[in-house]
Amino acid sequence: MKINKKGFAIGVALVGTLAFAGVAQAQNSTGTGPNPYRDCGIGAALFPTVNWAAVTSNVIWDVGTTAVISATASPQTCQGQYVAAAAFIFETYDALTEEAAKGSGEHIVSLMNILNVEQDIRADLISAVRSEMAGQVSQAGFNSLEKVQKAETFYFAVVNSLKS
Amino acid sequence: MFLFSNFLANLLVVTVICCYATSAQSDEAAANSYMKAVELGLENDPVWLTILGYEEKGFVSSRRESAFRSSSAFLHIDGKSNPSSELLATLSAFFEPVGSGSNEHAQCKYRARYIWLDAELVFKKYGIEEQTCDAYEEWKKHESVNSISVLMVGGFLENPASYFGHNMIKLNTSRHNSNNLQNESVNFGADIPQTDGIFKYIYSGITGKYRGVFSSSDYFHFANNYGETEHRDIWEYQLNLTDHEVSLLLSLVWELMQTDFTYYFFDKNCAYRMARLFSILRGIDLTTGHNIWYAPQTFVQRMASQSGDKQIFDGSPIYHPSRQSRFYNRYYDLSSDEQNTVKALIQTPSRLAANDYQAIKLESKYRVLDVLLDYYQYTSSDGQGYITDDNSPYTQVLAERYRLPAADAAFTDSPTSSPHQSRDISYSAIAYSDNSTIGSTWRFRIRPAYYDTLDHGAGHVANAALSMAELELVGDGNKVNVRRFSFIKIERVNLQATGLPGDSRRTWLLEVGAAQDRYDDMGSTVGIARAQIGRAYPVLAVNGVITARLGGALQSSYHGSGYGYLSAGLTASGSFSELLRFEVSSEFREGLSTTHEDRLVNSAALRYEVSRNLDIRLLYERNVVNELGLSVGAYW
Repeated sequence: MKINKKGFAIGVALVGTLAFAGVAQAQNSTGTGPNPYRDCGIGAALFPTVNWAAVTSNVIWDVGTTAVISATASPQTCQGQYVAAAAFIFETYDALTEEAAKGSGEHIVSLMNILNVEQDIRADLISAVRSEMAGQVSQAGFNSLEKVQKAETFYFAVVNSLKS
Repeated sequence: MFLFSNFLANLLVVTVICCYATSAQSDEAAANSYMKAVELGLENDPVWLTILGYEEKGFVSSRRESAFRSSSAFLHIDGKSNPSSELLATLSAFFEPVGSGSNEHAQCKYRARYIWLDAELVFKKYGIEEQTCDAYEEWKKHESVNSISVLMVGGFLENPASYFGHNMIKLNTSRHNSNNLQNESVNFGADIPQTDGIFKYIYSGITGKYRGVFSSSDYFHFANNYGETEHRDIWEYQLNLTDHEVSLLLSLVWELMQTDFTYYFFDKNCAYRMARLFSILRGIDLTTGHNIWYAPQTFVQRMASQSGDKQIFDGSPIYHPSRQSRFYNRYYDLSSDEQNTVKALIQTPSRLAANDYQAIKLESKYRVLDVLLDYYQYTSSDGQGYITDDNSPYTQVLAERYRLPAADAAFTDSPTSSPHQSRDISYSAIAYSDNSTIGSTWRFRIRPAYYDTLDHGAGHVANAALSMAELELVGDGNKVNVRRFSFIKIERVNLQATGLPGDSRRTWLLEVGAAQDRYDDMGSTVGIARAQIGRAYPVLAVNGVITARLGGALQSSYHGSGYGYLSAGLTASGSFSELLRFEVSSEFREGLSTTHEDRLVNSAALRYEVSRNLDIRLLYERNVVNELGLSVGAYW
């Protein structure tokens, strides 16, 4: 079925991610805890409350959310706003990065909400993320990254800007 | 006599309750509350029956039974068919001692029962001990859900379960730091084993082999999949409900998520189950008298047509266009110069660095780039693979958008109609025809669902036709024959296609059923499966399209008709006004065997919409002989 293929594809992408030592890896340097995309698994592990089986008659999931990759970190570690943000970024990456490029949008607001970003620093944060992503997206190898790697890049652009 | 029987009934109640409750005090309180409930007639109250999932069973008898599959959903052994017994057992369980934060207590597990019965009986008067329900409170975000929206999702022709669209509800919260995408949504769907193939999936969905369950999850999962991946528009109907009604609906959803139903694709589906939820409010009934099918559009039409005290929606729904709709709306909003820039950049993405692009105004750059982003996203996921292998053009456009100063592009939204304003989904028509060989004939056509190229509307897949189990009979006064039967017919014509690379004007048709092989012989009905594929060319002057398709058909043989033919067809369709639409078609058929007579089959139809649910059609068909007819049709 399509879902399995997609899940498998994402699984392959994640395995590839483990070997990937490029842009995103270098960014995880500010002590933000586990990398949700590598340590917590992705897909069903990031969306534990969703009854996927019950919704598949109405939806053909196309983002790999039914893929289950074994997590290396404990479930307790993989909770909280950063993991929730990682999950949100992964699933809505395209809409999110386009809104970031434009400077505003519903997805950007959701992400700020999930991360509990104070209203008075949101504009600066978005500006910093735009600046970081403008550089990343323009890099020669960015286009060939898998979706999960692009999501990871975006995640660290946000988290590092937030922490700095 | 009456007093004596009342005494016996009360004695029986107290005796039975002693079997459930554990203390004398709670026994008495439960018994008293039950007697009050009986006095108020609550055991047969429509709200109580709705909470318990009671429905009429059978076509002849009016046997009443709960639709819950699992016996564990009931507190009494006869609960599935005896609402009175279940009421007694429920009240007894409510008065049982409470624990600390227990979510297993009946007050928590059967939250809708508790909230409704409390409103009717005022449990405090009976000294009930209130249980805190942590899991329930956490799920409903405590008191922050302040409104509920019904969502109508447009149809999707790549998934049979989604042909007719989908309904779900969204719980809108007033939480600080929360917006629409973060709201909770509630869905009803079939629980389908991943190993089931498409044919088993369809068979099992129709015959009730799947269990159906309610589930909830963050709305952004659905918004993303429907809007970005499946390109389905969403209409959001935000309801006018009181706080108590919101609370009651939430509690009912909570209860229903703990049980399961039998899922039937045609009638006991997402739309029906969502509609049933509202039966607990104001005596609303959105399902009685429905046909053997119940479509998502039917639900929103019935919901929006409630009036007086039962009116829970007024105004206009919020329209959430899909990526595809955004792309088309924005592309056609561009000036011709901007469209040319879009075409040039698709042709040569590196022109982003060229002087002619750099020279255009910043506002135009925003519009061009945003259309390109939508274009690449749309064409990459519509299966045509334009940028599947290499999405570098998309990345270049995205990088350019990042480089420009942050700002929204300005576009003018196109007006859209809403599904609840559309005609009803089923169609019947009677036609009088003059056949050049047979003479006068009468034709009767019935289409349970859904639309053809002349009458598609909001909530339907644009520029497509979709019908299931459509039957047309023809009679000449002596006998009646099947003119046409479409078990399923799908016709896809993308009227809005831009013709840009990857947004092809491809069109296709698939039909399986039966049809008369020729119109000069009443008895020439054969089984047939036909398919065509081709190109479409828009004719903007009449908001129409010309299609050219090649294909063929396999059919059962009748008097040397052969077992099939190859075909080449041309069709032109469009609208002269909102009310007047036309279609003209010509198809050449060449037989696969020499016994089949090659022929040209022509047709023309003009449809005038008399009112929302009534139309008149002027029909011409030529298949060996000519036939001219006039039909009057009604939607229901």
